[in-house]
Amino acid sequence: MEAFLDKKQRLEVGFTYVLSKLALRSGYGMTYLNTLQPYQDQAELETEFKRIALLKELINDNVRVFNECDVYFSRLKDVTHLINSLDYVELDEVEIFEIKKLVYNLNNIRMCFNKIVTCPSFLNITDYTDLFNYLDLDQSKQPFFSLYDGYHPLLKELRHTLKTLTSEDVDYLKTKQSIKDIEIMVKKEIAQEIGKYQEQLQASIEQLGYLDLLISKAKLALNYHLVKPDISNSIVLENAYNPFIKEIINDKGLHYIPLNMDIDHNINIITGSNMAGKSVSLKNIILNVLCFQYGIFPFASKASLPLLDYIAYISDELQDVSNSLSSFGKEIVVLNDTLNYIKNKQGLLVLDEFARGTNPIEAKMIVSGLIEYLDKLNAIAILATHLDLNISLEYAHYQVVGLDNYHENTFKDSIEKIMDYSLIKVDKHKKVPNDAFKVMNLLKLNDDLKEIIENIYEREMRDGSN
Amino acid sequence: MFAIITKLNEELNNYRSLAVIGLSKNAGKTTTLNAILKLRDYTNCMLTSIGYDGEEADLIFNTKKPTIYIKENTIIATAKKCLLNSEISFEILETTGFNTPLGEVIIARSLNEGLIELAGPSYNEQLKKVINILQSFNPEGLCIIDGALNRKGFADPSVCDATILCSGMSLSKDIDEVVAKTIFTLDIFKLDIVNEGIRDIIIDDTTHSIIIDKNHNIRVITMETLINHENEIIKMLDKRVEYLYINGPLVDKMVLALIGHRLKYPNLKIVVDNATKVFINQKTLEMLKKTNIKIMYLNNINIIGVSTNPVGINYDVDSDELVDKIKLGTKKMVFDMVKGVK
Repeated sequence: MEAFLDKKQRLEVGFTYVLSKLALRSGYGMTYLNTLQPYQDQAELETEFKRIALLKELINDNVRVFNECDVYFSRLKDVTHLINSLDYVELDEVEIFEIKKLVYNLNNIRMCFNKIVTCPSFLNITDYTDLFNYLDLDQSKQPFFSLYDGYHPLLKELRHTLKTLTSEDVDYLKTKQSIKDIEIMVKKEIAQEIGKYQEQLQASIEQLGYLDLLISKAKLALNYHLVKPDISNSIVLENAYNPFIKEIINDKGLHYIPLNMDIDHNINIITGSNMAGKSVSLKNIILNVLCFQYGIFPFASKASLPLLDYIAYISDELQDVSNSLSSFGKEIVVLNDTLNYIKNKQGLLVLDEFARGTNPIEAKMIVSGLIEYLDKLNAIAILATHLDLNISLEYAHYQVVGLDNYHENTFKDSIEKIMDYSLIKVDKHKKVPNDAFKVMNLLKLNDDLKEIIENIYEREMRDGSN
Repeated sequence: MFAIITKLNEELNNYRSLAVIGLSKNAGKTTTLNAILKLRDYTNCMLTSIGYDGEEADLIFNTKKPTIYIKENTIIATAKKCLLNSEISFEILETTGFNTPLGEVIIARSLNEGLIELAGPSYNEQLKKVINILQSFNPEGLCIIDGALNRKGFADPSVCDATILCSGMSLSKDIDEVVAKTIFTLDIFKLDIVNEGIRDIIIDDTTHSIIIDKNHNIRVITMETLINHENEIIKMLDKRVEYLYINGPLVDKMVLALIGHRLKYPNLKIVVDNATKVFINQKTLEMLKKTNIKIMYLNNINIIGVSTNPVGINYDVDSDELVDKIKLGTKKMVFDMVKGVK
């Protein structure tokens, strides 16, 4: 399994959406993002978060500087391959132009950042004034390039002579050839001179990619009003939301409810009837924990999260239905893979309605067993279920409020609008709320059928208590 | 001849971009281009082309394909290979990221005079951007675009604001046939433009062909191409239909099929983007004129003149005779650039 979700899961939980909101302006930034790995070191992650927090302020105080910078970043063309081959490839005029333009933009970005009072060291860019001046012999101060007369003592004279000759003159071809020979020599010299800067340029384009991403992360934090999270051992989220799911829900005209979570147990169980928004809560937690691992501020008014080795997410909605295995069979295969993978690692395991596809009596036993097993592992596990489990008081139990506080007999618009999707922590054993029965009432189920169902319910309750 | 060339030169002052398109290979397109540069005194001109003609055809017919002659300080957009192989020295101004078989399209300024081959971007969208870059270096200048064979589409008014059509004896050895084909092409270009209301409805969704009835109800045709689907299209049409917008080329087969069932839809107008999308022959156009089915355009292509080339592969004619015969069939300026620009 992938340590931090596969491509499809990242799309489902909204991580792909978040990445798409990072408005990267350069190919270097895109390359940096595409090869980005989750943080493994707390100190490095802390540094990253501090930089983003500082950049948030700097961008606010220096709007014009960063707008100007944006322009130079967007003008960058990815010439990594050219820089990497500087030591063995001869350069033509167009390639020298590309390098001059890179150096031109680097100088401009450097001067931009220098305008910031108390500019932090991570925004320091190497000064390439010497290289630029060498490539700008006619002092145009522009990124344009040609093989200027000044590159060779004979060039100016020969070029002048050629202009006075016509193709019929004896010396015409000879002069032309001499110019060509010198130009070839000059190009070699220029390539050698640029070659001296190879390592510096490699470091600079790496830095450009990093800074493009870092500034985008800070702008994302500004746009969404995100704050710097704390690195800790627990999972605490206040007013956390998933911008991807929020957009979908808002588009339906519904209200998205942010989540408060303070996870201090290893085993955490979320109960609630079907369609009560349990999956939405899980995707909220996963996305924010995932963003944190990649050094992106979580979508919450406050977040305190741990650095993890993995995030595992098992949900039958994500499973490949074209596979010959039943959805439950597939879940077992994935669970086995996951349990093998997470041994001796610290991480977050999220299970959404495990064993949903099998009969409720067996499912109850399977999930209860799984909880006992997970309790012995060191994983932080969050399980969402609509099964009415006997949950031990050693575990944390959250419940979706659902229709618990809705006591009317009628409703406007849709059931979804009166559902309360927030989670409350339950400290003693509480039965799964009878939301399905409330829905039956609200949607005016046929009276005769309703009566039969209610009779069965009462009989079951009597038998169960015996 | 000199009077009309002076008039052309004045007319060109009104435009920022000019397309030069040929009715056929060797219609004198490059000759015209060179003559225009000379006419403009080689100043304030920028140059590029769309697509690349390739040299093979010229080798087969053994005619000399003149490369473009430019002077110092001309800004051009051409493929890297053409630039580096040219005898001219250039200052590189910008790279475009658009690739051609001859390398990336580069924007450069000439540092001396000489010959250059033009191989600009391959697509209309790219050409638009290249023209923008060229004009950013010289906002007052005239950007001249050399159109390659079978790529007449680039003269789209969203890309170029004026067009010169080149026609000549390479088209046929019979002067009357050359004249007839030229006038026929001009006829195609001067068909009517749809009114703004209909235009707005169509440009709302130019990714599909659509049918519009007299109450402006729209039916979207989901087929990717209408070619070889004539009968299906005809089944969708009835007497209420007013416009059939075809998102793509209009060919003989479609027009003939529509003519065949014309009683079904007495008010039909066939709409295409512009005249370069029409690929029908003279006979079909004549048949169409006898019905009340019309061809209309979303956009007009502004042909400002016809440049004639009396030199054919084996058959040359008298320059004045060719110009005079074409003049009889059009109100546009008709000129022989080689003769007119001294």
